[in-house]
Amino acid sequence: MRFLQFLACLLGGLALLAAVILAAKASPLAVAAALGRGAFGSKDSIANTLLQTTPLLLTGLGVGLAFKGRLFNIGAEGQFLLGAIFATWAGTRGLPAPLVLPTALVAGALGGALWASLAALLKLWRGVQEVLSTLLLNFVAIQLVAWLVRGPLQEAAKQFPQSGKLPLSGRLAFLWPGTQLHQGFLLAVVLAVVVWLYLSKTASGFALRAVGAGSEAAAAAGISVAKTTTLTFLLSGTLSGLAGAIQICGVTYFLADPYSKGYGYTAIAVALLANLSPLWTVVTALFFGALTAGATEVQTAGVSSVVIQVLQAVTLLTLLAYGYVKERKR
Amino acid sequence: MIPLVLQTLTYATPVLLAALGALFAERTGVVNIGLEGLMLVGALLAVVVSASTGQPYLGVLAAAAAAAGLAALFALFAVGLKRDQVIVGTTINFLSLGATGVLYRSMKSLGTVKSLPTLFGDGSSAINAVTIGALILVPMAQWLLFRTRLGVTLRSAGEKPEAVAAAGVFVNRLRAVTVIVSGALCGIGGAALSIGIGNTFSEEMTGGRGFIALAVVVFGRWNPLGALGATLLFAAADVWQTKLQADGKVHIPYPVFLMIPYVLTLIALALRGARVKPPAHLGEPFEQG
Repeated sequence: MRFLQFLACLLGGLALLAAVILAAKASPLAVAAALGRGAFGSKDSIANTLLQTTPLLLTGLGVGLAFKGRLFNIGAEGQFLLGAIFATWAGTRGLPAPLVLPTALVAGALGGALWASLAALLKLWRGVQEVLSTLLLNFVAIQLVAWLVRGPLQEAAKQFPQSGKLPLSGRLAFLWPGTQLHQGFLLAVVLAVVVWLYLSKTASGFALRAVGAGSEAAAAAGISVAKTTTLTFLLSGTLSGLAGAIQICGVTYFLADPYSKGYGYTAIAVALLANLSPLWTVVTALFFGALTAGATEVQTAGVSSVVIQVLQAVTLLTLLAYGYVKERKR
Repeated sequence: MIPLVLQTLTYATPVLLAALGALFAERTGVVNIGLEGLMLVGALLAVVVSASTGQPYLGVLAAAAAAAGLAALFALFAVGLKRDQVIVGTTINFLSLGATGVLYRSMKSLGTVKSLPTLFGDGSSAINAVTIGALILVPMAQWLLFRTRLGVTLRSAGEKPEAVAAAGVFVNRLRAVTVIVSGALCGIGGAALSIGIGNTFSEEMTGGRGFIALAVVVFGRWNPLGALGATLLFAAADVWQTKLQADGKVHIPYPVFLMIPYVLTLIALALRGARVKPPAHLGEPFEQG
């Protein structure tokens, strides 16, 4: 019965998706085939799927952590960008070779945490809803990247709007010979387990879940809501910032404008589809990673790659409808 | 001076309309971050319909209808199925961003897009009918909200929904209708952007105006006159800086210049934030007994 309901929600979602594709005068089946080809058609496309999964997994973990604490951090995009900025800056300072990579990664994580801390500060000190502050900070971060790659961080040649390249010592090693897949993917999977352990096995993780379940009850139980809120913001920002740093050290090696493909927004769908569970986030990040990788091929079927955003929306609507059906059952 | 004032009004119109819509929805207890998406859909529809019919006003109508339809989808999930409003709003943004992108890129050429006719003024200080309409709407909204029975009911739906329900009103139906009307306003706001300020559509052209509108509602204390004041303040800053930049008197790097509205909005929220009280049941679903 439950399966049938799920199927009904899914079919509704697919119908909506097909409607948008048909409105763009393309064939839904051809689009699906192109998606599959782009995501799993060859060694390179599989590697690309995993490559896209990496930032989605980390930002998805960050968003999931915040949502679990009932903080609507919609700012993973901005935190990702700050991570990329800080990693680029630290990675191009001419540090001794063995220090470059760790410094860049840590700097990126700090950058993300810093950006998230602004929203935490505004919330705790001035009562500004984090939904608004994090969204607005995303726009600030986008322009910050645009300015930096044309100003202080621009390459020495001053030719393109991009930063100088990271030295070889600052780059993550490859994981799968012959492809672009780097070690950051493994790091992300390990962090998913770490976040799971944190949430389920530590006192701090328990406090986070308690505040998420209801801040009044948590406060009555002696948990400091302000402290937990701050920590949740910082951890969430750290994960997204690290995602940005890994993108710099593992994929592009320099900062450019625009930098993100909207990973931080997709992360919201990744986290929600995983029902905010860190381990399931690995699976849902893979799903959206495949879609993002597959998107490179859908142009051949006559639709623009932004169709992926419709797909995300449809996934979420399906999920929301199913959530309702499940609740009513009880 | 007067051209600058007129230009400010034109620039303020999209955000003002969206903010008025959001204000009513929030007064009844529904916060919709999908505003941005609704405006974007309105912007596209206005351009498409204006180009294909040669009637910019039909474009405005189509924008209102399409955004209202999308708002109905939001209402279905957020009010009807009682799903989390922030998540449904985010979903609406994904859907709008994706769908407008797919549709816009699939169009070979739009033909000539007729922008809204100028009532008076010219060039950058031209004023169109939508701007006038939006300005007239402000005192009307103020009156409706604070001087009529319907206004009391609307406000109570966000403050004390149980009391409204006890008086025999279907709270969720009221909320859904308000959300749909507010969606239509956002759509017209989008049209004011695409065929009011210019005569073209570009992907993501709303550039966060929907989110700024949400902030304007907070800054204006959920009050139409307050929202007007806040919107004009932002638009004036925008116009003034564009002028400074164009005159070449100051040299701010362009991206830094683009950052200013968002930073200003954040500062405004921080300044006002702690003293403002939102409707008591904002964001909470209601279970009619």
